[in-house]
This record gives sequence, C-alpha cells and structure tokens, in this order.
Amino acid sequence: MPRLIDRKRYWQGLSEVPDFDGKLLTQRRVDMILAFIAAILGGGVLLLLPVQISGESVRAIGSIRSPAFFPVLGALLMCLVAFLLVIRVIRAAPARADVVEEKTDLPGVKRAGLMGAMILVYGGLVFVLGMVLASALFIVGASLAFGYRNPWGIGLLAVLTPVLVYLMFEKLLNVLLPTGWVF
Amino acid sequence: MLEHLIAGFAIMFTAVTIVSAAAGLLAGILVGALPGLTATMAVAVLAPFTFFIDVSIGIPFLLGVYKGAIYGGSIPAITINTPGTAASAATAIDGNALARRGRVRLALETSLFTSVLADLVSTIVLILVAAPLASIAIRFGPPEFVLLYLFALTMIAGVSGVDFVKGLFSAVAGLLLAIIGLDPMSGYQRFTFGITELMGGISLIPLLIGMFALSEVMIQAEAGRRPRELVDVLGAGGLTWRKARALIPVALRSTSIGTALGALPGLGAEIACWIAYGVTKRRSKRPQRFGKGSLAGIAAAEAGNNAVVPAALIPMMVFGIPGDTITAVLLGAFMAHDLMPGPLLFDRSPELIYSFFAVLLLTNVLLIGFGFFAIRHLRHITRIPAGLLYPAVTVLCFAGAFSVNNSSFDLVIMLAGGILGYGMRKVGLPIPPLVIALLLAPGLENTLRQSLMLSAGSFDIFYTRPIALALLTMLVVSVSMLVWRQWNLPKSSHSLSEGTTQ
Repeated sequence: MPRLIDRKRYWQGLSEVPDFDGKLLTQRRVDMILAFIAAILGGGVLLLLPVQISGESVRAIGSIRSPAFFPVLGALLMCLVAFLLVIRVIRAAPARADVVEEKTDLPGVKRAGLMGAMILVYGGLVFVLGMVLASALFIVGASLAFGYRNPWGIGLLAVLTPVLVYLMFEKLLNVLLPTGWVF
Repeated sequence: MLEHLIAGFAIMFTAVTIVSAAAGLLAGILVGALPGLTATMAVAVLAPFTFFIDVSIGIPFLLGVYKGAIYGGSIPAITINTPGTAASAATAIDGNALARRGRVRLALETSLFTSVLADLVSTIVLILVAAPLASIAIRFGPPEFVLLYLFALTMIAGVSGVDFVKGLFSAVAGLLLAIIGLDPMSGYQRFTFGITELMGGISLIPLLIGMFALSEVMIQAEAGRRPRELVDVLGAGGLTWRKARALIPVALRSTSIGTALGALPGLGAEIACWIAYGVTKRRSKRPQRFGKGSLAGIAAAEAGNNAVVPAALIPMMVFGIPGDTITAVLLGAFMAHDLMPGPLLFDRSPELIYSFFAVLLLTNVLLIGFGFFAIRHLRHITRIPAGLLYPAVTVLCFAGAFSVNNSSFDLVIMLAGGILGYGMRKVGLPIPPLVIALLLAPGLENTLRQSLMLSAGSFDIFYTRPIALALLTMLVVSVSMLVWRQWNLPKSSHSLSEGTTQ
C-alpha cells in the first residue's frame, strides 16, 4: 500500500511537493496543477479520437458499437474531475503566508531525483552491457547513493545479486534476461 | 462444499505445493519484516517468478507471500518501532512499548497467536461464504456487473486516499490507460500511437512493479538513512495459555472487523488495523493502558490486519473484483495463468478454487512454525542497510518485469510506472484506484456495452431488474455519502486554520 500524503501537512493545506526554492506548494496550487493535467488528459483524448481510433469515422462516436464509446466516456469523466478540482480551487481560500514559508527536505528530493536518473540510466545500460554487467554497475552506484560505504558489502552484493538473478531466471526458470552488445 | 474442499486438499497436498507455499510464506515474512518493502511490492516483484511454473505451485507461493508479508510487518513494528508494512502501523504503538519494557518475546508471541487465530477464522468465513455468494453471482447479467464494477470503483476512489476527488482522478486515469490497445468488440486499434507493443494494452505486472516497487525505491532514497534502534533482547516469559485465553474475545471481535472490512472493496489491512485498535480501546475497561504496552492493543491490531487477508479474497474469487492492491496483483497473476476468478470459475472448476482455500488453511498451520522461527532469528534482518536492500530490489524489478513477456518495452512501462507512482505519491493521488480501474475497465466496458445493446440503448435496464436495483441503491447511497463527506471537508484542507486537527 503506498504511503499516503502526510496527513498533518494535508490538513494544514500543504502538499509534499516543493517548488524550486524548497518551499512547499499549497494543496490549492496542487489542485490547480491537477485540474490542468486532468483537462489536458480529458481534452487530449477527445481531440485525438479521430486520429487514434482506426477503422471508424468520427461520426460513429455516439454509437454503443463504436470503439470510441468508452474512450469518450472516460474523457468526459476526466473533464468532470478537472471541473470539480477547479470548483475546489475557487472555494478554497489562499493559504497563509507563514504556511507557504515552510520548507521541505530539498536534498531528499534531489536524492530521489538522482536515484530516478540512475534507474533510467540502468534501464539503458541493460541493453548495452547486458543484464549482469549493468546490474553490477548499478548496485555499486545505487548503494553509494543510499549512503552505504562498506566496500566489501557493496562488492559482494554487486557480484552475487546479478549472478543469482541470472542463474535463477536463465538456468532454473529458463527465462531469458535482456542481453546487450557486451554480454 | 465439503467434497470440493476435500478434492482441493487432495490437489494441494503434494510435496511440491507444500514446499512452494512454505517458501512463499517465508519469503513473505522476510519481505514484511524489512521496513519499506510492502506486501504489495513483495507480491508484485515475486509474481513473475510464478508465471513459468504450474498453477498448483505458483499461486500457493503467492498466497504464502501475501499472508507472510502481512504477518512479517509486525516484527519490525515491535522491535524497532517501524512497521514493516502499513498494515502493522497500529501494532507498533503497544508492541514497541512492551518491547521497551524488556518483553519482546511476549509482544511477538501475542502478535503471532492473534494473527494465526484471526487468519484461521477469516479463512473459515471465506470458505463458508464464497460458494453461496458465487451461486448468487452466477445469476448476474451484464447490467448487474456494470453496477458492481461502478460500486467497487467508487468505494476504492472514495476511501483509499485523503479526498474523494483525487481518488476519482486516479480511477479515471486508470480507465483512460485501459483504453490503450484493441477495442474488445470490433478489434480496432485505440490510442496505440502506432506502437505495436501497445496493441495488447498496457502490460499490467511491469506497470505494477514500477508503481509500487520502483517508486518505493525513490521514496526511500528521498528519506535517506535513518538510524534504527533494535530492541535486541527477547526477554523472559512468553505468552502463557492464561494470557492467550484472555485475549480471545478481543481477537475475535477484531477478526470480525477485519473480515467485514476486508470483504469490502477499497478497505485493506491498513485501515482495518486502526479501526480494530480504536474499537478495542474504546470498549476496554482500562483504556489508559493502551499505548503503554497493552496486550489487547497488540491483539486487536494484529487480528484486524491478518483477518483481512482471506476476506479480501472474497470479492476477488467470487466476482473477479480485487478489493485492494495486493488482490489486484494476485488477480493479474491468476490471469497470467489463464484463470479468471469469478462465478464461472466456481461453476467450472470448484476443486481448483477450494484447493486455494486449502492452501490458506495449510499456510495458517505453517505460519505457527515459521512465526516462532521468525521470533527467534528473523528479527535481526531489520538491520540490513537500505544501501544493500534497495539496489538489489531494483535489479529484481528489472528481471521480473522483462521476464513477463520477454519484452524490452515492458521495461519502458515499468520505468514510466515508477516515475508516475512517485509523482502520484508526492501529490497525494492514491495509486490503488488507478490500478484497480485499469484491471476492471475491460470488464466494465464489455458489460456496459452489452447492457446497452440488450436494452437498445435505454438505461432502464439498470433499475428494472431486482438485483440491479439493489446494486444501484448501494451505489447511490455510497456516492451520496462520499460527496457529503467531501463537501463537508473543512476549508482547512486548502488553507491553514487554527484548531484544525487530523
């Protein structure tokens, strides 16, 4: 189960999302952003219907048999969500200045960003170096990023994990793992 | 029913199945005992391992993982005051207080005793209730299923997060994701953007691995290193029969709460543990003892969360509707084995369904042995540093996601799911409605279009049939309650006002 947003901050009208200065955004600002995303999603699906649904003309959209029937329903629901969020933004009073000044753990957000970037690079390296080598490199980098500094622990994990995963999938389960140019 | 159960036991009582269920249970306890590795994450990451083995081995393994992870979460909750899973959050209050008084063994044994008892009672309820419910469900036509799907989605959107609108956002996003692929009726492509791999739709398991496991890795990276203080001495004096007997009424009451909440879509073990704890405290003659190491507090929280495990299988097995994210992943695993839970499966292969029930009873017995083993030895695994744990988990995620279809595109879906999951958690959008909507959307679309074709486009069909009318009433009542609750949220949800509490 995912961790829910910090309830104390929620009831204070604050999100967990920092702006570029590390100040927390208010729930009202988050609602505005979500309303915008919902409108883009709902509107985007409706706009793309004629291009993204093959074999059926736009005229048939209203028919139950049309492949566009359910997408239109979903898009309209998303537009309704955008509308509800806008209503909520209008109803809500702007947060007090002292609340907006509360800062979050910006290094933490940067650490998460760094980990996300490392995972993306790992995803690319898998198809260059192969699963085993890329995993070993990723484990070294990610362990250091988590603040773990024991070289023996990192070395052992970097060797054992990819080898065990390889043996389990390729030899025991007969399932292929991604291969790269190297391995 | 009894002959099906006996047939189920006959199917499952093979050495391979027992070993598989035991391995799943042990893996689940291990994962549950590691703070930050959730039960959903455990089932999602380990599910791909089961796709390549027989259903009678794979599903018992996953059921063992599910059960083990929920129980395992209580170990770090008691020893280091950090719940291994969200379902054990209430256990930490009295469990750790008792541990700090030097009674670790008593706290852990109380947790084990009430977990096993609650699990057993809830499994018996599942066995007794599932078949009669399935015999009613088999009479459901498309309109009834439409309303049932909508009721499940509304409940999940309404209760799985802090506010209904965000839950609704998440659920509708799930419906929109589900339209990618081929139209189930005409076979025309929808929103595939010319990508061949999207013709089969969004691959569920890689997406779930990304949303639950990869996003957790990023959340943990954000949290950084936190020193944990392990209460290391077991202490003398475990749970005596006298103390255990005194806890039975509390455990049974909490079990009934957990079972009832588990059977409803959207309310998982995370909520049941708090409600059971709150009710027990309110009814206690000595409420002042709660929070200071009360055995009743531990018993209530653990019975409440463990009772949810078998109960959450009721809507999944009977209607094919997952009650929470773990059963959503389990449903995905069933589908990967070409099994579609629902009334038809009860009708066609009752012995198979009952064989899974037999596994639940079997793992309940095994949990006693593994629980005592965990109390003695596994509490030390909470010391494994995050710097070793999460990189290894990430490698497993990649291997698992790729192996589902041997497709590199699945890794793209997993990575996108990871980023999406992290973002959703940051802005307070609940993930369960998205996942469950994605799973239910094909069924909802099919039954909705079938219903409207049956009625020649008229909506009368949703209130002129008796069962449909009853379901529609439930839906209207639940939506009204959720809207009322949302409308009456204090304005402080958006701006600070003095005196507002949680």
